[in-house]
Amino acid sequence: MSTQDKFEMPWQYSFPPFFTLQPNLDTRKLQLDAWCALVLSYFRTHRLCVIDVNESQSSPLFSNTTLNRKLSPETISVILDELRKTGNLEWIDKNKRRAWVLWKSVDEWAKVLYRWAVDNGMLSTVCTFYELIHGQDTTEEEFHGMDQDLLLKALRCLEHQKRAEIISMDGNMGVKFF
Amino acid sequence: MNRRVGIGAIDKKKLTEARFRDRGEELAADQLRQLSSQLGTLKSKVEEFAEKHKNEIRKNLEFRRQFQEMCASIGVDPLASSKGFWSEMLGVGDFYYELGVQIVEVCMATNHKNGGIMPLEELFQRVVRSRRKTSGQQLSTDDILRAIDKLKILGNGFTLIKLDRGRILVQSVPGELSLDQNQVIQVAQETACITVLDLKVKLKWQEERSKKVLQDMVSSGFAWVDLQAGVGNSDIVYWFPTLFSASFNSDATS
Amino acid sequence: MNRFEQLSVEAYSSILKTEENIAKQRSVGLYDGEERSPVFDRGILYLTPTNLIWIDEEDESLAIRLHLSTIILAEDQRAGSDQSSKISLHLNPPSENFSPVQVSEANHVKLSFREGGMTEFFRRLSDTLMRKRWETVVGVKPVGPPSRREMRTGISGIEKTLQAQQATVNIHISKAFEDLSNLMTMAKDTVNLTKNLVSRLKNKQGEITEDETTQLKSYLLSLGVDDPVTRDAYGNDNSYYRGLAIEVSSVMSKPLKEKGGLMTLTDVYVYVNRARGFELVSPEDLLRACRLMESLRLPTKLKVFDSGVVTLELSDLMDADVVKRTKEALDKSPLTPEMLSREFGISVVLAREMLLLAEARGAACRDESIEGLRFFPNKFVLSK
Repeated sequence: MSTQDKFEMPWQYSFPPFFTLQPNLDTRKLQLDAWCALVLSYFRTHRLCVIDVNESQSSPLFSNTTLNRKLSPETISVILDELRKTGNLEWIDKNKRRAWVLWKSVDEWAKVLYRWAVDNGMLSTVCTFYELIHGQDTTEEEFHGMDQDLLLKALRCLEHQKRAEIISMDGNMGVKFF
Repeated sequence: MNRRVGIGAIDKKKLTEARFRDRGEELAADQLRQLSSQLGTLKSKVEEFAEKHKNEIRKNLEFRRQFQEMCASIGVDPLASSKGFWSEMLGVGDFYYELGVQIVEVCMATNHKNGGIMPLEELFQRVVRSRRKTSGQQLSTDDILRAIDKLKILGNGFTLIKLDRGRILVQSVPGELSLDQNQVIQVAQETACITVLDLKVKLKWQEERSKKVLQDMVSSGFAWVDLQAGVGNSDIVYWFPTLFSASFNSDATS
Repeated sequence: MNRFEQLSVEAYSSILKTEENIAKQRSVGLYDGEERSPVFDRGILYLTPTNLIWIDEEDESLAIRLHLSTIILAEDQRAGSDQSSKISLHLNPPSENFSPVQVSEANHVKLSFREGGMTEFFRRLSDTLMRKRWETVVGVKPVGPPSRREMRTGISGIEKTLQAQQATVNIHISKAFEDLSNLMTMAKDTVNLTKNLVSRLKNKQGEITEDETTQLKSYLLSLGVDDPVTRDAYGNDNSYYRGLAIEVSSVMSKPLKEKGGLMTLTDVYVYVNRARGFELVSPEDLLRACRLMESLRLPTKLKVFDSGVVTLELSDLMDADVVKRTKEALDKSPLTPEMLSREFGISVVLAREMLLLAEARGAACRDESIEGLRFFPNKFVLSK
C-alpha cells in the first residue's frame, strides 16, 4: 500500500540523526515524542492498525532510503515501548513481534462503531464482521480494513456496555447492536 | 518641590554665577532654560509630525527603518523609555515593545526544541505568523533586530551569532556559546553537520579538544549525534538542528 | 501600610462617581506607623461611605485605597507649631487573599494634613465610621491590579481619516520622508545642546544644582539621549519610576505566588505588557522600576543570580525556600533543567538557576555527561 504520496513526512524525517537514538536525555525525549507522533499519524492516514516489528524495519516509515538512514531494531523497540506507555500500543503476542497501534483507543473504536450503527439504522440487525471490515457500505469509515481481532476487542467493549452482542454463525463472526 | 538651600550653598552658587558673568559665558541655568524651551518646540513639532505621519511608522517598514537610523545618527534612542516623547507621541515604543513580547513568546515556545538558538529568518517567520491574526502590518528583520536589542536589557539572553552571507542566529537563552563552540558553528554552517576530523583539518585542533567541544554541544542539546554516516560507523557526525534548513519550513506546530 | 490596595484610575473614578464624596482634602501625606512614607507623600484624600482613597497630586495614576471596615479606631492629633495635624488610624489585620501595595510591620497609619483641614475631615470620618455606612452601600467594588486601557480617540479618529486617503499614498510618503528629515534636523540641535549640558555636568560639579540635574535627567529621558552619567542614576526622585514600580509589583504579586515566587524579568516584561495592552513599558523602564522595589519596600523585588540571570521575586521568598522546593523535586528523581521546568511549569532558564542555586547551597550535585546536565540530591553531604 503506497499512499505515501498523500502523507507528508515531518522535517525530522529528513534530519539524519533522527534515526540514531540520542544520548542526551532531553534531546531523546524530543526525538521519541516526534517518532511517536509520526507513527500514530502515519498509521492513522494509512488506516493501518497492526505493526509487525520485523517488517517495519524496512518500511519507508522507519527507513529513509534517500538519506540512507534507518532505525535500528533496538531503537524501534524503544519507540514502541513509549507508545505502549501512553496507551497507544498493545502487544498481540508474548514474543512482542506484533502489536496493535492504537491511534484510536479501544474505547474510541467502540464509540465509532456504535455511532455508525446508529447513523445507518443498524440497530437490532446482525452485521457480519466481514461486512463491517470489507463491506461496500463502510469504505468511507475509519474502521474499514481494520484488523479482525481489534474489531473483536472493540465489540467486546460494546458488549460489556450492553450495547451489542457478538454472535457466531457457522464459523463466521457477527454482531448485533442494540 | 521645595528647595532647601543652606547658607554655604547660596554663597558658592552666587560666586560661581559671578565668575561666569565676568567671563561672559552662559550659566548652566540659562542653558537649561534654553533647552527647556527648545524641547517644548521640538515636542510640538513631533506632535505635528505624529498627526500627519504616525500611521506611516506602523505601516511602512522602510519609513520605520529610516526613522530609526536618523535617530541613531543624531544620538537619540527613541525606544529607550516609554516615557520618551518619541515613544509616546509616535507610538514607536508600543510597536517595538509589543514586537519584543511576541519574540519572547515565540522563543519560549520553541526553546526546548532547539536549545534556545534559532535562525533569525525562522524567528522572523514565526513572529509574522503569530501576528497575522492581529494586524496586517509589514514587518522586517530589521525590526526584529531592533526589538531584540532592547530585550537584551532584561538580562536573560538574546545574543546574535553572525554567520556568513548575512545569516544570523538568535540565541534567546543566557550563557553565550564559548569561543570554541562558536567556531564549530561557523565551520558547520553550510552543511549543518561536522565531524572531529573536520575540526582537526579545518581548525587544526587536537583530537581531544575537538571531541570535547562536540560532546559538550551534545550535552547541552545544541547538537544531535548521527551514528550511521561513516563507513562501518567509524565516524560520528554531529548535526545542528538550528542550521538545518528543512526545519525552517516546519509548520507552526512542530 | 499593608492594608492599602492599589487602585486604577478607572476604579477610583468609578467609586468617586457612584458614591457620595463625604470629604476631600488636598496635601495629605501618609505615615506607615510612625514613619513618613516617601512614596505616598502628597496627595488628595477622599472619604466615601466605603473607602478612604488617596491619589497622588503629581501623578493621578498613582492611587491607593483603604476600605473603611479595616479601621478599628480613629484618633485625632492636633498639631504643634512645626508639625501638621494628623489622624491616626488603628487597623484590623489584612485578610488572607489581600494584595497590599506595600509590606509593613505597622498596625496603624497616620494621615498628615499638611495644609490643614484635619478637624473637619476627622469629624466626617468619625461620623461615617460610627454609622458603619459601608454596610449599607451597594457599590462597585474594584478588584484586581490596575489596567491602563485609555482610548486615544483623537488618534483613532485621525487614523480613520488617513485610511480614507489611500489614493494619495505615494505623495503622502515622500512628504512624510521630507517632514521626517526636517524634524531630525531640529532634533539634532536640541540633542547637541543637551550633550553640551551633560558634559558641563560631568566636568564641573558645583556649577549645576541638584534640582537642575534632576531636570536635565528628565529631559534626557524624554528626548531619548543615552548617557552613562545619568543612565543608572534615576532612583527615587522620579515619580514615574516609583509609580511603575508600584504598578508592576501589584500586577505581578499574584502570578508570582502561583509560580512559586520567582520569574525571569523577561517573563515579567511579557506579563506586564500583555496586561497593559496599550502604552507598553520599555525594557529599560521595567528594569529601572524593578531596581527601586526593594527600597520602596514593595511585595516584590529584583533578584540577580550569580550567573547574571535577572529575575523578579516575592520579597519574602528566601533562597532556602527555593532550595528546599528544588531538592524535594530531585528526591523524587534526578532532573535536567528541562525536566524541572516541565515539572514546575516554569521557564528552562529559571529551572536551571534554581538547580544551580541548590548546587551552590550544597543540596544538589551535578552529573555532566553526553546525556546532558543532570542534577541529583547531594548524598555526599548526607553521608557525613
